[in-house]
This record gives sequence, C-alpha cells and structure tokens, in this order.
Amino acid sequence: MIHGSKEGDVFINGANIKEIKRREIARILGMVPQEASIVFPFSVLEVVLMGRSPYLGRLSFEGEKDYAIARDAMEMTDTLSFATRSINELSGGERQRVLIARALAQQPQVILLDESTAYLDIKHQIAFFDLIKTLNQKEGLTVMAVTHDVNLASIFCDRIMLLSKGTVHCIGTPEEVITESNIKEVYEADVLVDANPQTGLPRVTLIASSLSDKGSRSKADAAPQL
Amino acid sequence: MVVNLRKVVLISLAFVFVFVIVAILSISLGTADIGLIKILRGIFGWASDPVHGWTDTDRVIVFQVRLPRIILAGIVGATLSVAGVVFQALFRNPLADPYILGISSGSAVGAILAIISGAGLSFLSIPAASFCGALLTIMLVLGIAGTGYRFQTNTLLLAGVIVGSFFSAIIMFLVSITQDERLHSIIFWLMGDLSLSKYSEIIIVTPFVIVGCLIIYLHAHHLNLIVTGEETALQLGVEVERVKRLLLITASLITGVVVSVSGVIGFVGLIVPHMMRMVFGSDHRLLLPVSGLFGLSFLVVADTIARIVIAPVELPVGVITAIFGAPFFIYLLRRKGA
Repeated sequence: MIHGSKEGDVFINGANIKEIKRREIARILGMVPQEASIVFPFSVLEVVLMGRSPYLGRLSFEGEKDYAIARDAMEMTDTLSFATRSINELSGGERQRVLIARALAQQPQVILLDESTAYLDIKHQIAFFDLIKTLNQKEGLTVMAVTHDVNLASIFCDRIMLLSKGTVHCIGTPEEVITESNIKEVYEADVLVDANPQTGLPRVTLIASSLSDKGSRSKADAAPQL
Repeated sequence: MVVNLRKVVLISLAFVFVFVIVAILSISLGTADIGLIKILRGIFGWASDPVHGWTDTDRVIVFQVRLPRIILAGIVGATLSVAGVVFQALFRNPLADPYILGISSGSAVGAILAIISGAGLSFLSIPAASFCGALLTIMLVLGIAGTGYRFQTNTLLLAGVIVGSFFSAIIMFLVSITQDERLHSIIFWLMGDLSLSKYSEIIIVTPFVIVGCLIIYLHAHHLNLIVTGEETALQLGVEVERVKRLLLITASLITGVVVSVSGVIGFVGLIVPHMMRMVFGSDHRLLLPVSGLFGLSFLVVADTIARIVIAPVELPVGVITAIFGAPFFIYLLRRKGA
C-alpha cells in the first residue's frame, strides 16, 4: 500500500489510492516499520512531530496544536519521559514505542504494522501488542499487522488472514484460521494446536522431529513455545 | 532544541553578523598591510569624507583583490556546505560530501573539457559542463556502489574515493597535454584556489547558487523524513523518488558551478554540516541555513589562513581544508565504527 500495487487496486474509504495524493493517504494510514535506522541524532520529540508532516505546509513549522497532538501520542505510548533524548540512544522496545507515537501523531484511522516486533524480545513484543490492542479498543483505531508469529496473532487479532505464495489461503477468526492443517499447508511444518490456558484461543506448539521418538514429550511440555 | 521560524531567523542573522566581522578582519589581513582601523574608517566614514587616508594601491588591493576573493570564498563555502548536507541526507550517510563522493573532481573534468574544446568562450557553457560532470559522477558512483535502498556507508564512500582519484588523474592528463593558457594550473583544479577570483565569476555563480539553495530549502522538511528512512518518508506523504531526483540534480548543479570557479576544495561539505549538527541538531529546516551561513565564514577563514600563513607565499585553500578535514574524516569514521 505504501509502495503502490503492481496488480489490482487498493481502496481506502472507497477511494482508489492511485487517485489520492500521498499526503491524503498519510492522514488516513499510519505505519510502524520493522526497524528504524535513523543515522542522525533526532530527538524523540522531533521524530514524533514528523507524524504531523502530512498536515504541514511546505515551509511551515509545527504549531501549538501539533505539539499538543504529539504530546498526547507520547503520553499514550509512555514515551514522554524521554522526549528530549536522541532516538539513537534508545533500546529497541523504546524505539518501537516512539514509532507508534509518531504513527498516532498522524491521527490515522488505520495503523499498519509491518513486522513491527520482529527485533524485540518477548517482554517487549507483549508490551507492544498490549498497547496496540488498548489503542484499538479505546481509540477505535483499526490495526492491520503483518507478522510471522502465529501465537501473537492468535492472542491479539480479531481476524486473521493466512497468506501463502502471494494468495489468500484463508481468512477468519483465530479459531477458524489457526488449525493444524492450515499451518501444515502454508508453513509446511508439523505443529500441535491446542487451547491457550489464559484465553482459550488457539495455541501453536512446534514439533521437533528429532525429538518425536521420545514418546509424548512435546505434549507433556506445558511451557508455551513460540 | 525544537525548531521554529523565529529560531531559524535569529540564528541565521547571528551567522550573517559573524560573516560580516570575519569578512572585515579578512580584508584587513594580508601581505600588504592595510590595517583594521583604515578599513573601519573606510566603511563608517564613507559618505562624509571620501579620502580616509586610503591610497590608490589600498583601493585596488581591497576592491580588486581581496573583496572579490572573500565574496567568492563565502559563496563557495556556503554552497559546498549545503551540498554536503543534501548528499548526507539523501544517502543517509554522515560522511558523504561533494569531494569524498568524487563529485567535485567530476565537475572539474567537465569544466576543463569545456575550456579545452573552446566551448568555454560562452560564459554559461563552463558551469553547464561542470554540472554535467557532477551529475555523471553521481550516477557512476551510485552505479558502482549498488543502488539498494539500505545505505551502504563503506561501499558508497569507497566508490566515491576511487572515482575521485580516477578523475584527478584525468585532470592531470588533460591539463598536462593541452598547455592551454585559458586553463588554470593543475594545482587550481586539484586543491582549489581562490587567488584569481573575479567579480565576473561571482556574477555567473550567484544566481545558480541562490536558486539552487531555495529549491533545496523548500524541501528541508522532506529531507528530515527521508533521513529517517525512505519507506517512512513515503508513508508520511513525501513523493520520495521525485524529491530525491530533484535534490540530487540541484546539489550537483550548485557543486558543479562553484567547482568551475574555485577548483576542487575538499572536506568543507563534511566539516561544516557536522559541526552544525552537533550544535543545532538534525532538523534540516535549521541545519540547511546555518550550514550555508557558517560555510560562508568557514571558507573565508580557511582562505585567509592560506593567504597569510607562510606569506608572502600563498597556499591553495584546499591545502588548509584538507589538513583539517582529513583527520576530521578519520575521527568521524572511527567514532561511527562502533
């Protein structure tokens, strides 16, 4: 959607994105990328304020309103405390929160997550998606996430679309999509799907073939595996 | 820390003031001793009393030798600094600069070819040929470095250095075989030299530089977004490909134009933006004007040192910038290697 499509058309609110200006799209769609390699020492506040650029004129500077919106976004993402620090000095988890704040400062209707937690450890992955889920529930923000982590998708997504070789394999609720047979077909991996003890949602356990002759060990192991 | 219009204007005015002081000091310094007092009396007593104890020689030295040289040094310094900021942003590489990337040498080859071919007789053809040289060099360097969108610091710089030294050899070759008295010396083209500055050159160069800098400044905020990643910039509403192409061409144009009148002066576009970024941060809406305005003073100071350090012998200004610039480059490279 960011790069434009080679085949087919993408519509936002009924309008073909080929016919809308990028600045218009940027007011509707926000995005959190996988990782920001920002070489120059921008402060966190400056990065968040960049989210206001779809609303700025060519030579204008951010005004009171933009600062207020950026501050709100930073409050929601708990990044206000390091507003003046350089983005380069932050940890991976902090940096991703700043990028969410920037996306929120765009005041979008939809946020796209492109493998946004790929470089985070489990603690920060959970914190990231908890925050996104809260924004989804409280602010009515639509979220579209691309992820390889089936378990995270199962916990946090209302609807899941499983893609295989560029086409839609299936689409539906986590219960409908995350099944042993679907995973086998798409990922070509044998897994075990049972119920997550916290939520009852599908939980995927990986099966290592090298261990499969040791009886029921993979079943007995109760620890959730990613 | 965060930039607004008032801040940009105030800081810019401060730098203009610094430049005026630097220029006055520079006019008063040199082999022929004119003295600061005399200069100041000349400036402030201008309307009331036309004599001020100035001799005709003083007048010639000030107006025909030092003043055009200082003005041209300022323009060249500002231009190379702004071009440096643009290349650093577009390549997301703090070490990019018109000299390191070989662009200055490519411009020089273009200018030399125009002069040798006789096309140099028309006053616009030399800047035009320099510009073409700059543009071809960029394409060559990017082609060698590979055009993946992830920034490859080392390959890009290596490609630039290699292309630059290739063009230096071409410059030596062309200047050696032609013996053309319209052509400057090899030293001029390889190290830069402002000692032959003329008002006519200032008049040719200035409109290009002003228009180029305006075009660049109109995209200052786009550069902020591009620096943080091209995908991010696209996503925040910037037509990245169009802006990149426009700014590459514009930065090549202003680089080429100043190289045609100053030769290849290295490292200015590296040192000035870096110092300014350390003091004023990375927002291009402030960084571009302060780099340009500090570049004015910076090259005038460097050129003044070149004039007086071993007077009466004058050094090419590129010697001074390289003596300071090369160690500075190494320092930046080492620090970034973490």
